[in-house]
Amino acid sequence: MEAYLAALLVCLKPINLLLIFAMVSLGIVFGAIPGLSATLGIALLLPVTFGLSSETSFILLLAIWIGGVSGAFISAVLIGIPGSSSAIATCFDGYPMTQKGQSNKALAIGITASFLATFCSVAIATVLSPLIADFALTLGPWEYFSLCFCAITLVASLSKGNIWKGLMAAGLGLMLGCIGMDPINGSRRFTFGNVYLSGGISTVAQMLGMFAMCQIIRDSARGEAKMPDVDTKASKGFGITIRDYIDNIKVVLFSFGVGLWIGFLPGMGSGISNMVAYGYAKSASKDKTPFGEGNPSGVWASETANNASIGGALIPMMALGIPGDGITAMLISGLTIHGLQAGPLFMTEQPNLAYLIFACVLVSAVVTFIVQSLTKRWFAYILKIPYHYLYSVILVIAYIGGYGISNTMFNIYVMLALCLLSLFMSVAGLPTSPLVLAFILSSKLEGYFRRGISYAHGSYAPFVTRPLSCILLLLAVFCIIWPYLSEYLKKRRTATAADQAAKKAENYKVNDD
Amino acid sequence: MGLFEKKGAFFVKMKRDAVTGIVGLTGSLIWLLLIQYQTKQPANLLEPGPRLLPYVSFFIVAFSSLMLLIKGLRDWKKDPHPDKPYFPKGGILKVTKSYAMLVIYGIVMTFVGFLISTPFACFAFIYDLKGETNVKPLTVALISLAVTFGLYAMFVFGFQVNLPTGILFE
Repeated sequence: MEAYLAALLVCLKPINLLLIFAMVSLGIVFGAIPGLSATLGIALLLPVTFGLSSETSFILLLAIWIGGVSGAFISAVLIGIPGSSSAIATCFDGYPMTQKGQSNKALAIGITASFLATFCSVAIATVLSPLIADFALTLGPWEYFSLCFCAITLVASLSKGNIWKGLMAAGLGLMLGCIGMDPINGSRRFTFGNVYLSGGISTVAQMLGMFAMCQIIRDSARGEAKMPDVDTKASKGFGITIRDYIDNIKVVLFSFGVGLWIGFLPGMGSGISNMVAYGYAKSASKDKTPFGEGNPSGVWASETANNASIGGALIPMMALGIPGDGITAMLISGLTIHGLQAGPLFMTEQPNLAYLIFACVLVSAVVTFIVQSLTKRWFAYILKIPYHYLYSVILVIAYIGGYGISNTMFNIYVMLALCLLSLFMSVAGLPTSPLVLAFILSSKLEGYFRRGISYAHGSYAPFVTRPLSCILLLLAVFCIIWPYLSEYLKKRRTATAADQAAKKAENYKVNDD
Repeated sequence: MGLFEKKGAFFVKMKRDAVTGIVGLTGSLIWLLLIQYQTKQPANLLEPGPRLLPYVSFFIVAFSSLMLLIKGLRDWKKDPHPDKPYFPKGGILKVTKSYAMLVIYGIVMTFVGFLISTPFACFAFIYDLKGETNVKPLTVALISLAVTFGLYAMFVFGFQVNLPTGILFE
């Protein structure tokens, strides 16, 4: 408690509050503009943190994250295009509300739901993470390996398209992770005699190349860097009352639970939680206004669920050192840049910094709420920023970031190579998340596996004889075979139903005769 | 040339999954070769050694590529029509041009540094990304200069991040 209060006081220092305010505002802009995202904001900000203290760096990164996730609903409500995948379901009812002239109310719901869900989920994460971290300290390399393995397979199996694309992307991530020194013996792999490759591929270069550069030139070539016209008429009042909140309390509570749980699972971040929560709200609704035609419950459900995922994703990141999604993977990289390692030891050895992360997210949520409430009438102007100027500045910042990693041009060439790989992946329909997660976890995965075998004097048995490790491995195998198993069961059920129908038809025919 | 055209047309007609599978299989075979030359396996190890992860990643990419190839060929048999192109008409040329611009900026920056290369690069990026929007050359030039000097001041003086000075001026 003492460490938490100390961390909260650090966040409330005037200079830190000012930084949070600036980064939250920038995050809202990144979140609001379709094509940009909190992920891209963090990728661009990571190189800036090289010369800053760990405290300041984390304040910057976390504030832009919270602002970015929260700001995604703005374009979803105003122009019907989600700022990121976390606000897809917000479009379904948010935009029809705007078309009906209720944009002020829809924006107010987005602001309130985002704030309450982030605040409560982070409070829960703050309480739960130390408990899970204490338990995690009792685990050995076998369980950690199985946990990392399970996280990668879960992300790969949930990839859009099919599981083989997810697995291929994860395999590519592992290949990239092989480059440099191996984590046990320190022998060099795939360095081609290049001294810069000895330390492996920089995560920052990877993020900048795969997210910033690739996204910009791809969107431009596909003609997606255009924005429809947006109504900039000013709106009066906050837009909702406490009564609106109470009327939707059931939807809000369920969506919060869904968001928190889905955020906790690796790979199933806010992009999925908003859709699941919306689906539930739609099926349980008895409202007069149908869903999809401007029902406020739809916006409550989606915005509560996607922001509740923030707290959910923080739990495995802080307690186990396992990133839940692309953004938390980047935050873990941010810790690594400052010589810190996320996980149970981080919680016990660096409590001040660990609690600073929770406190900063909490303060950022409050600042986001204040900024959004005060600037709501100007949201429409964010969507009027010309893409060609914005994207050009981002490209130049990406080069600065690439150079800043090691003060050499080498990482800029790495960025360009990874941009090409990302372009190939986009054309092939391969998802990026499994690659990022596998790349980040590759050294842990290999280290735990090889250490586990060494500790067991060359035996592989503990991976399956230790109960938790065995359960996690079974879960990983289940994740891979489930899509095929479900398809097989579905086919069998259809065939049985068809057989029964044919038999019935035959019986009727006999009876008729 | 005729043969190349025929081969090119064959790949265009194939389902995207099948092409991905072929590229993945080729890449994984190259990776397998590289494992032999770019990694060393110390003798008498109690654990699998540094070649474990490279082999695992090879297996994952090769197997998933094979499955994608099979899926792509099956889909192709069912529906011989090619997939909808990922880029619209002229998109491939545009993405190639944009990528070439990024590479050229990197090379020029290596030689002449950030301050000289960035205004030109920024100018080129704005013109490349503007699409059908009308922009005035003078405005773009002024914005390019402002971006260059603004970012230089912010990173060098504000965040203490060094920027490239260029091989020619070192």
